[in-house]
Amino acid sequence: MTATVLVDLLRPLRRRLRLRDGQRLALHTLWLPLLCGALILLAGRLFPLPDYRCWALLPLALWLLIVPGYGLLRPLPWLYVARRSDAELGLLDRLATALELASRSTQRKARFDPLLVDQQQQDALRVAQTVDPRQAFPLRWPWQPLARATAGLVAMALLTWLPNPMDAVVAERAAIAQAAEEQAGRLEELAEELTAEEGLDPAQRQALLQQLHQAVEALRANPGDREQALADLARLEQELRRQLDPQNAARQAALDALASDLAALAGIPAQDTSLDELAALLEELAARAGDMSPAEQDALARALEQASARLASSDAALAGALSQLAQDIRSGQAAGQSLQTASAALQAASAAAAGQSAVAQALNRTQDAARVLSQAGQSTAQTSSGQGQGQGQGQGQGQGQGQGQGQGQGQGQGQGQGQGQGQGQGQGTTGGGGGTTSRTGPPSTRVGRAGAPVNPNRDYQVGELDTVFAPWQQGQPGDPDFLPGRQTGEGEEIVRESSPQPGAAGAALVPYSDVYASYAAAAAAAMQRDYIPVGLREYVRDYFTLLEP
Amino acid sequence: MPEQAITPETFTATALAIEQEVSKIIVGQKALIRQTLITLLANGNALLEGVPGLGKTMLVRSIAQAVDCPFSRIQFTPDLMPADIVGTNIIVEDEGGRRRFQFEPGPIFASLILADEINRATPKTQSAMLEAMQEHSVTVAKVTRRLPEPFFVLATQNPLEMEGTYPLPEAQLDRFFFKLDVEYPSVEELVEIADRTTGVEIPQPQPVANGETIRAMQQLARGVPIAEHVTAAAARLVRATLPDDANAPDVVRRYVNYGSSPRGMQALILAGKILALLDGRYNVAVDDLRAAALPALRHRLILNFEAQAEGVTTDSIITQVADDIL
Repeated sequence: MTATVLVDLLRPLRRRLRLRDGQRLALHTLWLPLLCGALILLAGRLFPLPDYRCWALLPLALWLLIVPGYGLLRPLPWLYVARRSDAELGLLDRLATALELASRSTQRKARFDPLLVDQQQQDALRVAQTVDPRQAFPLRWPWQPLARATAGLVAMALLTWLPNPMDAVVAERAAIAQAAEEQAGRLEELAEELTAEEGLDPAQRQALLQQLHQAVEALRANPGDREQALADLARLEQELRRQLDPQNAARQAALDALASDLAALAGIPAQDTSLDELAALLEELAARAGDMSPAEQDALARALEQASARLASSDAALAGALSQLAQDIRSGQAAGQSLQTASAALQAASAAAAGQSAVAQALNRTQDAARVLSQAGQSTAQTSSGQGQGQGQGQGQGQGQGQGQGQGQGQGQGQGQGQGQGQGQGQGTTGGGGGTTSRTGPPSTRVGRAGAPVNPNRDYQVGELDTVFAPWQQGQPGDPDFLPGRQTGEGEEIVRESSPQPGAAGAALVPYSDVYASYAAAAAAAMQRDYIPVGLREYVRDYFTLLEP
Repeated sequence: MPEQAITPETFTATALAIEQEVSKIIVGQKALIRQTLITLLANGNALLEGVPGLGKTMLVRSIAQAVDCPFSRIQFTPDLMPADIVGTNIIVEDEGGRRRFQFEPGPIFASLILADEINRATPKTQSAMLEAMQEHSVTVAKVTRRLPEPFFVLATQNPLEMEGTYPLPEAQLDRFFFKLDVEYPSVEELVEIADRTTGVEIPQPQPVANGETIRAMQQLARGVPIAEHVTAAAARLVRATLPDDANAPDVVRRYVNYGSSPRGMQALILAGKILALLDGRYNVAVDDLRAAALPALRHRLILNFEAQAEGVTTDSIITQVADDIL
C-alpha cells in the first residue's frame, strides 16, 4: 500500500478536523475580543478617549483576522491527522501506524513481520473507509463558551448604546483643539500682516513675530487642553502688555487735539488726521506764520504750547520741539530749524505709534483667541450633559457679535474719548442684555483706553466690571492721568488734569478682565502641578472657566 | 526461525485457548492469567507476589499442562544450594566398572519453572537463577548447557513473613519481565473455587499448544509493527520515572530514588505487541503501553523512605506518570 491511498482517505477527515478545530477555537476565544472591546468601552466611560468605539472594535477585527486565518491556514500534517483521528475515534493508532509504515523506509519496515505489516495496513484502510467525517468530528456548541461570548456581546452593546458622559468631554476637547487650530491660523494671518507692515521697526517686528510664532506652535500642538491653551495665550498677552506704552494714548490724544487746533487755524474742517498730514499742516502753518496776523500767530503758538504741555510726559522730544517752534513763531523768528526738529520728532512719534498699534493689534487678536478658546466646546458639552443650559445659551449667542464689534471699536474709539463704551447687544436668554464693558470713570479723570470693549454681547458675569487688587500691575498710585481736552464748539477748550484718587486711579486696583489672563495662567499651572483626582478635574476646570470675564 | 510459522489469527486463537484452559482451574484472576501468558509469549520471566494459597503453583502447573511443556517446581529454602537447582556432576559406574562424572540436570532443566518463595533462598542460590533467566543456559563445571525452549520462570514471593528472607536485589528484579500482584479472590470466586475443587470431578486443562507453538508465537509477537510515536511514548514514559529527568512529574521527583532501566521499555513494547495481537490488531497502540505499564515497571522503581512512610506505592506513581506522559 502506498501512502497516497491512505492520504486520500484522510483528506476528508482533515477538512472536517480543520473545520471542527476552527469552530472550537472560535467558540472558546470569542469572549476574549468581546471582553477587550467591553473594557475599552468601559475605559471610554472613565477617561475621555477619542474614537473609543472604533478602538473597541479593533480586538474583534483582529480576532476575525487571526482566528479564521489560523483555522484555515494552520499546517495539518497527515501524520497529525492520522494520530488525531486515532485518538478521537478510538482507532488505537491504526491510521498513524499504517501511514508511517507506508511512508517510511523499507529499512524500518524490515524490523517487522511483513505479513503483519501488510495486514496492519489493510486493517487501517478498512477502518478508514468506514469513518464518516461528519460523525467522526461533529460540530458541538457547548453552552459555556457561548454564554461567555453572549455576555461579552451584551456588555459591549450596553456600553456602546448607553449615554456616555465622557462623550461631551471628548467633543469639548475636539472643539478646543479645532478652535486652537483656528486661532493659530488667525495669529498666523496677523503675523503675515505684520511682516508686510512697513512702518514697523524691524527689531520690534522680529520680536513680535517670534512671540506670535511661538504661540501658534503651542496652539497647534495643543491636543484639546483648554487650560494649556489659555495659559499659552495668557503668556503671550502678558508679553504684549509689557510692550504697550501706557503713555501712547495720551500722546495720541495730544496729537489729535493739536491736529484739530491746527485744522481750525488753517480753516479746514476737523477730521481724523494722520501724523504725516499733521506734519504737513504744521509745516504749512509755520511757513505762513510770517503772513499771519498777531492774533493768528498767537493762536498758533498757543496751540503748539498746549500740545507741548500735553506731550510733556509722553513724548518729551516732541514736546520740546513744539515748544521751541511756538517760541520761534511767537518771537517772529524764522522757524526753519525748529520746524525740522518738530518734523523729525513727529516721524519718530509716527514710528512709535505704528509699533504700539501692532502690539495692540496682536493683543486684541490674542484676547480674542483666549475668549474663543475659553468658550470653545462649552455649548456642546453643556447641551449634551444637560447642565448649565441658561449660561450656555447666553454665552453661545453672545460670542459671534462680540468679536466683531469688540475689535472694531477697540481700535477706533479707544483714542481720545473720555468714556469708552462697549456696544454689546446682549442676546443671552438668561442673563439679560448687556455684556457692556464700558468703563465710566470719574468725570474728566480717566483716559480713553477703556474704549476697547473686551466682551461685548456677553452676559454680565461676576466681577466683569469690578476692579480687583493687583499690586503687580504697572503704574503707581498717584501717577497722573492725562485726559485730552474736547472742543466745545464755543471757542473754549476744557482741559482737566486728573488728580489721583485713592483706590480708583491707582494701578493696584485694575479691571478684572485685565488680570484674568494671569489668573487663568496661574490656575492652569496649579492644575498641572498639583494632584487633582480625575473625577474632580472637570469641576475645577469648570470653576475657573466660570471666572472668566 | 521456528519450524512452525503461525498467523496472527492462530496466535490469537491459541492464546485465548490457553487462557480458557487455565481458567478451568484458576477461578477469576483474569488479569493475572493474561499477564502471565504475556510473559510466557514474550519469552520473559514473571515474579508473582501474593500470600500463600492463592493458586500460584496451580497457575504455572495449569499453563504447563495447557502448553504441554515440562514443568518443575523448586521450593526455595535457606539451605537450598545452587547445585540443587542447576544440577551437578555425579560419579557413576558404567557396565565395565569404570567410574566417570555424569551431569545430573537439576530442576531448572524444564520449560516452565516455578521458583516458589524465591526470596527465602540465599543470594548465592538466587544468583544461580540469573544466568538461567537471562541466558536460558546454565554453566556447571565450566560446561554451559542450554535450557529447553521455551523457558519460563515464574517466581513467587510472599509479602508476609519477611523475617529470615533475602529480598531480591534490584539487578535480579530487573530481569523479571513482569511483576504480578496476586489478588485475593472475591466471595463469588471463592464459592466457585470451592465448587470446582471439592467436588467429585476436578477439571483438568487440556493441552492446546506445545513448545514449538509457543516459540512460534514468541517469534510472531516480535514482528508486530509499532509506530515511532508509540515507541517514543514508551521511551518518554520510562524516562519520566527517573527523578533526575527534566520531564519527570513531581511525584517521581519526590518519592522515587531510582527509575526504570531500559529493560522496562523493552518489556513495555513487547507486552504491547502481544496485547495488540491478543486484541486482534496488528499494531501497538499507546493504550497497550498503558495497560502494560504497571506489571512492567512496578518492580523497576525503587521508592525512597518518604514514599514508604507515606504509604505511596509504585503502582500509584506509575499510574500518575502514565496519565501525564501517555
